Formats: sequence, structure tokens, C-alpha cells
Amino acid sequence: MFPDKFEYYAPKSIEEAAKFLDGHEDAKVLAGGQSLIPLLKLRFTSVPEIVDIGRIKGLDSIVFQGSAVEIGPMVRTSEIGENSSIRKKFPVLSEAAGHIADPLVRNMGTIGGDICHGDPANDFPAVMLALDAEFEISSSRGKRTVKAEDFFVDTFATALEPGEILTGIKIQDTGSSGRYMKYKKYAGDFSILGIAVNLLMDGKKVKKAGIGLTNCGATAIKAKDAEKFMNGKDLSDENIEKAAELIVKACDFMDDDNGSVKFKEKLLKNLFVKAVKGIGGVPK
Amino acid sequence: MMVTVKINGKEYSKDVEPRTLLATFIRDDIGLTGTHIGCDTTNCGACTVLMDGRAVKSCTVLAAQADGHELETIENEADKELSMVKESFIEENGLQCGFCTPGMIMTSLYMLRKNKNPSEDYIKNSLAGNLCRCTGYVSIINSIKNANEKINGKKAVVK
Repeated sequence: MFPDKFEYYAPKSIEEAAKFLDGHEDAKVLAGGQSLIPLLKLRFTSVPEIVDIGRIKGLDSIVFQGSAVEIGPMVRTSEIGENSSIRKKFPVLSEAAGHIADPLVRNMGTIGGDICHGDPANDFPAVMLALDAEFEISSSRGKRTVKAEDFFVDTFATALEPGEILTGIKIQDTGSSGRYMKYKKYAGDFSILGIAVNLLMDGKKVKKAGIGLTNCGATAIKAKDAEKFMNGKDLSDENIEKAAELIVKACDFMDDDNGSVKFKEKLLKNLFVKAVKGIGGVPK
Repeated sequence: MMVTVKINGKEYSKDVEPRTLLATFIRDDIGLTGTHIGCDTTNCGACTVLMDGRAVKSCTVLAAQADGHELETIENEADKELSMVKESFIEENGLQCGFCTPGMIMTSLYMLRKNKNPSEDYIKNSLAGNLCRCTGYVSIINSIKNANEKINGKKAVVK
């Protein structure tokens, strides 16, 4: 299978890429291509021009600076999963990376592509929401910063305007810890649903909760009510149960091939409890 | 557009359409047909090659993306470790029809280079992107354990 014809452009700098995108509104940015190329091959979509940002230097680095980490959009999913500092400081991010597709896809696929694709079943968006990440977005008009919670608009739709490129992901290290739980039908599959839970604790009480949901609606969802409820509370069974109720309320489930609404609600609650209690392993 | 890649130590330059996929570039433009195209939908891993040492599915990479990079395919006879993996698959009957085998072997080589002390779980997880519809994987996993002994000189840890 071949994609429809397109022009290929591989700029060497962000400025060059932004300039090209300015004159080519329908051009599509290519990162690792593990979502875009299958779509092009199946002819679900076709684009007149492809802008490959893989040759821009500096977009594939992970830099810890002060209390934050800055991750370039071209960092491969496998590198996210294997980076020992990320594993230590943001375990929820490492765990999610290990759940994405398969090792071969993870060697090409990038964190930036996973985020910008806007697929509700992609795993990194939920993690970004749980960690309150900030995205640096560049265009010929300059740079702007968008919070993860303002970024995911709808299915395959993000806050990226025409001509804009995601050029950096910034996450604050607050000393929190988290888990990512994903339920899938078989190895390498997309989520039936997934949940990222990140907790900053103050003794036995939650100081700040971050909860992101994968495939629980039209796009990745931040369970704000549940987060608010958990802040300042301890992790008693009763509180966890109440938070789980609020998480389910934030979802927009539909009956489909993956199961009924009832099944998904129950599954999500179970995954949440497992994530909070830190019990390893999702049901196989 | 011109695409220049080094495959198995030899440099190749071809003028191709931008939409050319790496798998077809390797097979049709270069003529190295050891790399197979199975599902053509990023599922089966028969098309696995090493790009700068990392195993990738070449049916889901543009030839243009590989421009200037170094590739290794199943044909690389100069790679002693690759030959060891091939021997191991023969010894342990790690194949039946053989269609998935080029991908299986390239993924095996990649995982054994990455982890010199693999567990059985590591081997299984590392194989998640390669499908075999004949063997049921037991003989493939045995082949990889055998290859690990040849390459890394150690037995794989069970669990």
C-alpha cells in the first residue's frame, strides 16, 4: 500500500519549518510517523506536503533544569521509557511509554507525535494532563505556551493552529509519584481505556492529585473534580471510592466493540483503585 | 528525490518518489528481498530492519526518513552475531513457513544487543511487535535463548 502523492520537505531549523508551514496551510508535520504513515497508507487521509521535523537539531533531547524537565517532541517513546531519570522522577510517564504499541513502533514513534495526533486512545495525553505539563508551541509568529489541559480539544483536534509546531514539553518535578494503568485486548493494541494517576503526598494526605484519562471520551480527559476532591484528603477506601465515582462522571463513554458503558465504568474504577494503591500489573 | 542509505555496510543512492516506503525501497529499488512485507499495516513486524541499530518496522518508515542513516537487514553476512541468531533459529526450529523469520531474527538481534542478560519475560515483551502464525512462539523463544548463549555466553534467566 502506498500513500497518495505528496511533496516532502525536511527543514533544518524550527524557523525554516515555520516559514514553510506559513505558505502551506494543508501541510502536515511528520515526527516519527507511526500514526501518520499508517493513515496515509490506508488512504484515510492524504496531504499535499509533509514537513519532516526529524532533521531539526535539538528537538530530541531530554534536559533536566532546576526542578523541571524539558522534553523535545522528537524524543522516541522507547527513550522516554528507558531514561533512568524520567523513571525516577516521573514513573507515570515511563510506565505509559512501556504500554504504547510495541517495541518496534516505540523505536520510531515520538512523544510529540503521540500528543499532537489528538487520538483519544493515545496514552501520553492522559499522562500530560496528570502531570500538568506545559507545551511550547512555535510558529513564524513566535512562541507561546499552552497548558496540557487547554491543548486537547476534540478527536484529532488540538490547540495547534495552522502553521504551529509543538517544540517542547515542560514538566515540573514536585516530588510526586504515579502510575499508568492500561487495559487492552492484546499486546501492542490501543487502550480500551487507560488512566494516569499522579499524587503529590504530604504525609498521609494528598497535597496535589493529577488524573488523566485515555479513551474515555472524544479526547484525553483531565478528571478535575476528582483531583479537587482528593486534594487534602487521605487515601481511605471511602475517599478512593468517592474519587472513582467522580472520575467516571468526567467520562463520556459509549457502547462499542470494546464493551458496554457499564463495563467500562467498572473497569475504570478498578484501574483507578489499582493505580492509587500502587498494585502492579493490569489484568491480562 | 535522492535517498542515500548505507545498508549492511554498502552505500546505495536512488532517486525515488517521496511517498516510497523504506520496505519497498529496500526490496524493489535496492533489490534486497530478504526483508518481507507481511501485513503492511504496522502489526506483524516481518519487515523489521535495524536503523542506526534500532529495530523498526520498515513498512511504516518513509525511505526519505531513512536518508543518511545506516540500516542492517537479514542479508548482512558480515555480522557474526546475526549469523549466530540465524543458526539458533535453525537449531531450535524457530520457523515453519519462514515468512516472519527475517523480522523475528532482526528483532532478536536487537533485543540481545540491548540486554546482555535477558529474562524470559524480557524476550516475550520484546517480541510483542512480531507475529508468527505457525509456531506458537515457543520454538522462537527457545531460539532466542539459544542465540543469547551464543552471543552473550549466558543462559537466559527463567522469569
